[in-house]
Amino acid sequence: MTAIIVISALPVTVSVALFAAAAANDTNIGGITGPAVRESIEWSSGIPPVVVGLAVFFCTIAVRGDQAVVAAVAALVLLNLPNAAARLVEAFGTVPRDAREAAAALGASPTASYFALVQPAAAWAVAAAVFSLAAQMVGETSAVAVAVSASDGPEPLSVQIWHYASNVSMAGTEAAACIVLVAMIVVLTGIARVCARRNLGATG
Amino acid sequence: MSEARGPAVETKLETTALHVWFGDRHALRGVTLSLLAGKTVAFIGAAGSGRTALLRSFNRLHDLDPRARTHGSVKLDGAEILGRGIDVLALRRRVGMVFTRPTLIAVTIFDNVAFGLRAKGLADRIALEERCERALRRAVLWEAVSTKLDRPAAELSMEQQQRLCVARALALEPEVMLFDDPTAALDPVAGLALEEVIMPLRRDFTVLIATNNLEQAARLSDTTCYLANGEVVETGETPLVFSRPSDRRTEDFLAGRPPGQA
Repeated sequence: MTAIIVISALPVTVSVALFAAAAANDTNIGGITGPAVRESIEWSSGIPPVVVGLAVFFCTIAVRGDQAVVAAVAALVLLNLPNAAARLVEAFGTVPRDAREAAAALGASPTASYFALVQPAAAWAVAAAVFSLAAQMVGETSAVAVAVSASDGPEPLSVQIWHYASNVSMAGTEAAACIVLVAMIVVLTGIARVCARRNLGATG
Repeated sequence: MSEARGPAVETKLETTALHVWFGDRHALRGVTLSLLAGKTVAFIGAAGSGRTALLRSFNRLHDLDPRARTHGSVKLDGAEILGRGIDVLALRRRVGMVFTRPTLIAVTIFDNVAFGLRAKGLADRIALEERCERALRRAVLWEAVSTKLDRPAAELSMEQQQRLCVARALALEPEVMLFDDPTAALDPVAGLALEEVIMPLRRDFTVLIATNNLEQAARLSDTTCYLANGEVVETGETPLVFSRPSDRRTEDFLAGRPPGQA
């Protein structure tokens, strides 16, 4: 269940964050939506993410009924959006402004420059940001997953750990579940670090 | 490639009361100029005089800077290029630019030259190769790189990288070439070598060059324009401006004197 929530939330978060980061990086991208996205990301970064996430989570359940997994995904997306956008803005910042200007001077549109120049040049930095974000999401599913456990279906890893924490007879299972959860986060963080180092190597 | 124009006399670029601000800084103050087609114009002046701001007005590169505001008129072949409704991408293909430092925008030598052509929508490999070869030949770089077009451009020397940037702009077959202090990052020998590349381009293009190097301005240009504090102080035929400047401020600048000193 943890994997389902993360795998569902990650592409949505990354897509919106990529657009927001591109718009934040280049004022010519995104048209009239660019400033709006930039502004809302800045606003939301000032609000405690857990407040935004849980508000969305319960609103979704109120509107759509017992759609706890959908609500958890939506909450997780909003929880991580400001952070994801900030990381990607930083990743895109590794592409020199000079290069973007040179591309523009050759008649490349902002969007074409973005795909042809910014994305490849910042590919490792973007990969590092995405894996780091995935690791964070795996950890953050814990909060929303407690509520998701009210619905039918398999319990997320963090909920299993929470439920059986006080049951001594389940200590072995508990330990294994904890190891799996920590291992997922460690592996994702490790991949993120490798990508970050490759980016440093590529950009000198 | 653009046709050689011979003794062209028509106005290629024209600015009227052009102002540019970067935030609170007033970089250009009511610049009015008329630049003839097929001529090479050098913009000289101290740092912060507005040379680069003026060059970047001709291809609307200020649009990339959210702090920049432009007011006034800039015309290319008599058509206004400021304001809304202008195809800025097409404008930038007509007005090529080479920056102070060589800026690589793709990994390989070939991809750097082909970048603008691909952005324009040219996808045919053979056509791309033809256009790239022609541009590299004009930049006097073909002999040096023809066997290693797939190699990283970063392996080239600084001067070769700057030639690559010239080739990249030429590949789009522009009508005007802007050079923003193109030899400032090069040593004197490499700078002179790059001038040898620019020299023949003067026959086929309207060339505008902002430079700190007065000798370079004298060697390359037909017309020299001296700017100070965002204003045009004096414009005239290069030999006249250098030998008999009409304005005291120009004379001071050329003599290396602080303004107003005897």
